[in-house]
Amino acid sequence: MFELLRKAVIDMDDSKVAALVSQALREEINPVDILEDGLISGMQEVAILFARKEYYVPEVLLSSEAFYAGFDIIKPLIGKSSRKPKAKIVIGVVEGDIHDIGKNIVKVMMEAAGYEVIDLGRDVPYTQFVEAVEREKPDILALSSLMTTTMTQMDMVIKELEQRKLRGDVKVIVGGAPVNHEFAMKIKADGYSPDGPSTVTLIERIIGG
Amino acid sequence: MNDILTPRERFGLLVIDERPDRCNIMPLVTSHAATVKDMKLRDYYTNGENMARAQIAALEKYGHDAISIFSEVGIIAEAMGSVFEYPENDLPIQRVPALKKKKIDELTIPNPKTTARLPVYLEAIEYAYDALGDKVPILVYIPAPFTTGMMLSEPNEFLMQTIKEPVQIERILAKSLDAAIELCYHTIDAGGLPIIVDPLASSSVISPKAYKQYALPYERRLIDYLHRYDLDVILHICGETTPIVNLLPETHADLISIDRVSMSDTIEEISGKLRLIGNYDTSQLAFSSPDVITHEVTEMVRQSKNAAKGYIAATGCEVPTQAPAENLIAFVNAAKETGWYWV
Repeated sequence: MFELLRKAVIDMDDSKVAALVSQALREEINPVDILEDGLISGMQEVAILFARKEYYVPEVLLSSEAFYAGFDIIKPLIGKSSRKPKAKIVIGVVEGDIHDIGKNIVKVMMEAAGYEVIDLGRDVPYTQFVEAVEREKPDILALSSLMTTTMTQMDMVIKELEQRKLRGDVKVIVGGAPVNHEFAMKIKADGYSPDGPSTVTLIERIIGG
Repeated sequence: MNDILTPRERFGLLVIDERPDRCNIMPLVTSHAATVKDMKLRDYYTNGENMARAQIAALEKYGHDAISIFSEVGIIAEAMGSVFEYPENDLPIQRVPALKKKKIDELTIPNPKTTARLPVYLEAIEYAYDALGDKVPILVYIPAPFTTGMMLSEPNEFLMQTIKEPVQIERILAKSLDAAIELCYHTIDAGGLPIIVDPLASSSVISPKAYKQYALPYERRLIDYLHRYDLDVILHICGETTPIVNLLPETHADLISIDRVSMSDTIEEISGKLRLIGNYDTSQLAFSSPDVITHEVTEMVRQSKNAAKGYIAATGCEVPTQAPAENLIAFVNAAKETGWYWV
C-alpha cells in the first residue's frame, strides 16, 4: 500500500492518491504512517528527481497536487500531539513580485518535512513580513523573489527587523531565481538555498533540527 | 582607447562576422533608466516619450551601445486582456490573467497602435529613432509565445496543462504567436529591432522536453518571420539554460543572450554557430563595488571576446533599478578597456 501511494505521488496522479488514502483509512492503517511512509516519502522522491533535473516545475506542481489530494484527507485525522511540527515557518514572496510558484514548491516541501507553514502569499510589503514575525513568532522567515527588480525588498525586510529589534528572534532565509549565496550574505540573511529540496536541508542545518 | 565606430556600426560589423573596434556592450539597462532621470517607474512605463528620454539619458551617462525598450514580459498578455496594476514606483503587477475571464477562442490579436500599453512602446521607439536611430540600435523586447501564454493564464495552471492538456497549450501559443508577430511588424516599422525574450521557458521552469515541444517551435516561427526583413535576431532567455544550450541553434536566432550558465562551456558548445551575449550576474551590479565589478567584467570579457562568431558584453538579466551608477560605469568601462579588437 505505501509503495503504491508513494508511486502515485511520484506519478502525479491525484485521483489515485485520494483513492488509495481512503482505502488505507478503511483498512484502519494509522494516518500518521500513511502520511509519513506514503505521501511524504513520495514527495521526498519528487524532491530528489527535481534536484537531479529529471523533474521540473510542472512535474513538481502536479506531484504537489497529488500530495495535497491525500494530505487534505489525512490532516484532520492527525491529532496535534501525535505529530508535533518541528518548527514554525513564515513564508512569502516580496512586494512587487507575483511569481509564487517557487514559493509554493518550497512550501509543500516544508509541509512534507513536518514544519508548520504560515503562507503570507505573494506581493507582500516588507512591513507585513515584520508584523507576521512579531505576531506569529516563527523560528524561520523565508523570503522569495523571482525578479532582479524586487530582490532588494529582502534587504528592506531584514533592515526593518533590525530596526524593530526582532532580528535576533528569527532566522531569515532567502531564495528565488535571481538570488544567490553572495547576495544572501550581503544582506545578512541566515541562509540561501536554490530550490525546494535544499531549503529543507538548509532549515535543518540552521535550526539544528 | 576612444571609440571609433558608432554603436550601430559596431553591431552591424558584428553580425557580418567582422571584428568591430571593440566588443559591443549591451547590459540590459531597462527600467533602471528611469532612475537616471529621477523618474517614477509608472511615469516610465506608461509614457513612450518618457521611456525614450530616460533611455537616451542612460546611454549618455553610461556609454553602452543600445537603447532597450521594455517594461515587463506581460506587455502582450495585457493587450490581450490580462489586467495589470501600475504601482507608482514598481513595475506593473498582474492582477487577473486574461484566461480567467475569457475562453481561448475569445482572445483577440491586439492592434499595437491602439491597445493597452503597446502604443507606449511604439512611441518610445519613434522618439528614440528620431533622436539617434542612425547611430544606436533600438532593441525592443518582445515576449515569446510561451512566456506570453503563461502571462495569459494562472501560471500554475498553465504549467500543469503542459503535461495534462497539450492541445489547450498549443491553442494559447498559436494566439500568442500571432500577437507577437503583429507587435514585431509595428516595432520594425517604427525603427526598432525586436529581441525575443522567453524567460519563462528556461530550464529554471520547464524541462528540455517541454522547451522543445512548446517554446522552441514558436521562438523559431517568430524568428523566421523576422528573418524575412533580413534582421539579425537576438533571443534572450534568463535563468538556467545549461540543459537546453544545444537546442538553441535550432531556434534560428542569430545571437543568443544567456544568464546563469558557464560562458566557457557555452562557447565550447555553440559559439561556432551563434553569437553570444552575456552574462554578468546582475545582483553584483546592485550590491557589489566598482572595484569588484571592474575585476570580474574584465575577466568575463577576456574569456569571451574571442568567441568564434563574436560576443557582446552584457548582463544575464535586467539591471536592477537600484544599481548604483558607479557600478554600471565600472561595468561599461571595464568592458571597453578589455574588449578592444583593433590594433
